[in-house]
Amino acid sequence: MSSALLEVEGLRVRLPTREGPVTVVDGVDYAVQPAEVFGVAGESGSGKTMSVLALLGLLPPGGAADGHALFGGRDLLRLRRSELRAVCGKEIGIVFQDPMTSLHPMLSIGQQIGEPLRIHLGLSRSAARRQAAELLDAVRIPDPESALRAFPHQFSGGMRQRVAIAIALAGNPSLLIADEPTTALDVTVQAGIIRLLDRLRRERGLSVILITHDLGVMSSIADRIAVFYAGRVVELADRESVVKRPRHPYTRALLDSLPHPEAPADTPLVPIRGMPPAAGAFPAGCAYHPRCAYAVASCTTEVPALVREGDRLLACPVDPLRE
Amino acid sequence: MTVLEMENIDVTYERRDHVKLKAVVGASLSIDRGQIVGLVGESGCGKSSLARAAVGLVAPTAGRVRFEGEDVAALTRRARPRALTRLQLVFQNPYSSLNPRRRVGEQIADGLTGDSGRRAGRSRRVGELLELVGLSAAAAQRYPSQFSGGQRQRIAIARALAADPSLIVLDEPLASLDASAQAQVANLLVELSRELSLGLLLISHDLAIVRHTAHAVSVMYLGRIVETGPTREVWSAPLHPYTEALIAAVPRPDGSGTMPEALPGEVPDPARPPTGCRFHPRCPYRFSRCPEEEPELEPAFPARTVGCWLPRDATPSPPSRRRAHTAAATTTNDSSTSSSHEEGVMPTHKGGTA
Repeated sequence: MSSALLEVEGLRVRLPTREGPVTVVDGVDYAVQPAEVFGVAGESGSGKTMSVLALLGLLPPGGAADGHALFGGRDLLRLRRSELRAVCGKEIGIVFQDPMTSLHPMLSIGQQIGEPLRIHLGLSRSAARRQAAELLDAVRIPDPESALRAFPHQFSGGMRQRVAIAIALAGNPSLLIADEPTTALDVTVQAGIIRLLDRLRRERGLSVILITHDLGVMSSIADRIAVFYAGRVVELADRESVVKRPRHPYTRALLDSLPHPEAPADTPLVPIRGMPPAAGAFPAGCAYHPRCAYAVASCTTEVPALVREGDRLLACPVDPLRE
Repeated sequence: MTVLEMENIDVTYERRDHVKLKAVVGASLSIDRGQIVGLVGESGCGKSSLARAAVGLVAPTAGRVRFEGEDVAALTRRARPRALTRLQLVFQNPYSSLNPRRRVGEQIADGLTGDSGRRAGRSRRVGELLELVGLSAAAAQRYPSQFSGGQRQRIAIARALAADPSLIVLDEPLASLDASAQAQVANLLVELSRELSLGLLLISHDLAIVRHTAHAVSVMYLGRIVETGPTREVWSAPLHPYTEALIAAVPRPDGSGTMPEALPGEVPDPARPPTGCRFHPRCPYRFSRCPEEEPELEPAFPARTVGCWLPRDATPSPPSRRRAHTAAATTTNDSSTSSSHEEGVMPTHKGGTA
């Protein structure tokens, strides 16, 4: 896996709380390959977002990360802020959930796309403007020239998210981090954004880390999926293995709780019993054991290691779903 | 027994530039006790306006709302008539609909009416309500911030139940929740509706979750209801092209890597709705009649209605299957713009400066 674009090893993240620091990401390893959509799945509080924000130095104040994150021959976790700033927005682009808050309401679209072009690529004003129009065209904003003069409120949610993606692409990054990019959008619009990300991956060889709790979205586009629970990866494999033949009881339960388009109507949904644990109160042993239908005595004491099982990584020694 | 009846409702707002905006046009809806009716559509389709009209938060400019046989008058500065407390509303975001500074129990007790108004009775009733929504009675002593999103939504539902309602209108109650919490709350709604023979109007943009929850569904587009029917039948054979598009856009969590279908274009400005059928600019099956005349919602098959000019078959079948024998249907998918189209953008649409 030396060809990996990003290699994360032993990542730990601690955040300050009123009760003292709590570990929200606890020893995470993964690698993202070139031109792949790497899915990071899990419920709120699973550490999925923090595990990615940590790489970019975007943790909330007082947050601390250790471990390694190798990207282009450097360790992102060891870079100075100024060095990280040169990577962020240039080699790594970021798109957030809510394009209404991630875009500046008082600046025109042209100003917002132009800024990274001038800062990271050193383009002149006019060159930046031309490039910005091309980027808007690449994300299929109709009539890019007039869009440059428009302001965020003049766009719909879907179009704003396209603009946010165009800004993230401005530095011509090799990696795009998308944190719940479609969660705030209508399904009809979400479908378009999913297809856009897929095309960018194909046309530009862009790698995407897609963070979402929506396994439906994940199942449409991710090549590989890492399932997070209570700050750890519990299962990591290619899309088909995770979604069609899940092996971790949590992955199985998460899939069962979704409305399934092909399931007969009126079938009740099957929620996971209990609730995801809050950071700072992760249960001992396998953090999922209190909610797990297959838990045995050892699950309550021993933290399961993430081990290779064929072509997947699995953190469940009980392995009740093995065929 | 019909508990809520809405007939030919119009909701019109006046924008700051004095332009009249018809958010809801001629919408009719009825809900029986113990029935869950889903109301689905994209943002801006008028579903929340219709919900607000149902509970009297906005005054319809035309039509009539009847709740338990009585006319619902819009809220004024005067006290809401007691009879209307049996008509409750739950909002989308349980982070903003609960008061962060008051204990959960106090907030639920606000809604209590009648005999349970006495003090000891009150706290017992609050405990019962919390247990009814799957929380422990002890939760009454805690504050909203001590609960997860799914739990807060349960608290909001318990507060609505305190008034002993016969109907609850829920505006996107599941949208801000994780998959598992979403399933829990959806199942809770089904149970409550059955056990308390409670009518529920469930507003959602997610047809997939509505399908597992609601008995009947109304699909709304740009202020008009375009299709109604039993949820199961609408899902398996949608009659309106818009309903078909909503279903095709649902991502399949099956691991196959199938891309959901994007619906090209956007919901137009409701102040200037397209001529004829409001959906025609985005409809892949439109033909000459569509931009000319607006189709009325009419009975199509038993228990189903649709507002669409496409010819129907002898049995319900989706537009894509009927298209083969609709010679008049024109294709809008020319190859040069297909990638924009697949990604949900109408290249001719003037976005941005609208």
